[in-house]
Amino acid sequence: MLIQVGIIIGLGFVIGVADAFVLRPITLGRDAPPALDLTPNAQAGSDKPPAQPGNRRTPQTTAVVPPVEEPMKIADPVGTPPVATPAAAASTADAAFKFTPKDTLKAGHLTVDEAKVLYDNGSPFIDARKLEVFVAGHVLNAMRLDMASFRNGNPPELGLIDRSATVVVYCGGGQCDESEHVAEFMDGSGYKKVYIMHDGYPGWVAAGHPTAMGE
Amino acid sequence: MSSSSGATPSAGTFITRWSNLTPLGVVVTRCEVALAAMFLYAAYQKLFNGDNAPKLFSSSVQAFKLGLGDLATRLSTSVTPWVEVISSVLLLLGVWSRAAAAVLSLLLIFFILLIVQALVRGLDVSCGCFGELSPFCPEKVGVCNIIQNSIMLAVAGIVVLTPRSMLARTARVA
Repeated sequence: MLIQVGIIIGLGFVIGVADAFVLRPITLGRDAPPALDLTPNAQAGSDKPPAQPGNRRTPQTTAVVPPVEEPMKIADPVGTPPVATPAAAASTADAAFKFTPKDTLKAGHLTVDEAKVLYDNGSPFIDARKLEVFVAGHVLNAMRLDMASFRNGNPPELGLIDRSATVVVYCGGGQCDESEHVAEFMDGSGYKKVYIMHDGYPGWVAAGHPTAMGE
Repeated sequence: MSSSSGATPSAGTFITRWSNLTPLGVVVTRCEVALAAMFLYAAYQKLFNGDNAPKLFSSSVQAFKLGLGDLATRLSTSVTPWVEVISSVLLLLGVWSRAAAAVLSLLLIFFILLIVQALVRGLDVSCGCFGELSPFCPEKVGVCNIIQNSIMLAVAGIVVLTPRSMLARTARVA
């Protein structure tokens, strides 16, 4: 029986190798997107008007962040979403949350503060989590695209985002991988400036930034 | 498998094996079919359910953070479902049934260990057992997946450990 077991595994190995590297070759991983300079000095030169937390954002151009050609049509919640106001944000910011220091992040990952700069500049935000957690709370105006959305190629929602746009993807923070994989799929679709908000939605909430509930 | 009649042992065919089974043979054969169906379904989800099915499965495996490089991940996520396909087909055909069930048992033991280490490390990941779907357990990996795989392992164990001579009334079952 051992020989038969070996033959079965060997045959599976041969077919698997042929499938993976000859018949349907795919690449895993992606090249890191270009570095962004999101320091206050870099932002000072822009004509960016003050951000309006809690309102639908309009695309704006800065020296370092490419414009988004049109606003994202996003899954706005039906009815009035529970939007955090600046005052409320300050009061709800979670002091206990441990934000990941910038110098420990790998290339292509952003701190919540850096992501907020892009958010204020109108960059599209993509929530890579599953629907049930998205409904429970997400970044205001974020679009939901999880890995499964890419099962049959590019999801139609992706057409709403310009390929040259700077896009921020997030998931549950910590050890979640969904954002990385969605970024990988987007990279394969021609989106070369896709960044990961490393601390994810928990970090966004802890910072007291605007959120919404529902689909 | 069994011959349909006569005392001479023979391998028999998929059709004839059903006509000459002992009650234990019926149980084992049903275990084989159930096991094969489950693994064929799982392999289909991983290999063919959508243009990006292989990549989705690779992503699911990467979430377990085993430290595999991209090449090793791609290799393992391609070889595993094909081994599942071959074993399942052999089970359905009644050819090398015990060896095929033994291979699936090894896979199940590996899957269980994979899930246990993910739980111990506190990883919040999807099982990936059936590709992106999770028909029997919650999507996030947990104790349910261990129970599910343990049940399948028990079924595979029945196939592996039952002597072929006990499955057919009149002839050895290969």
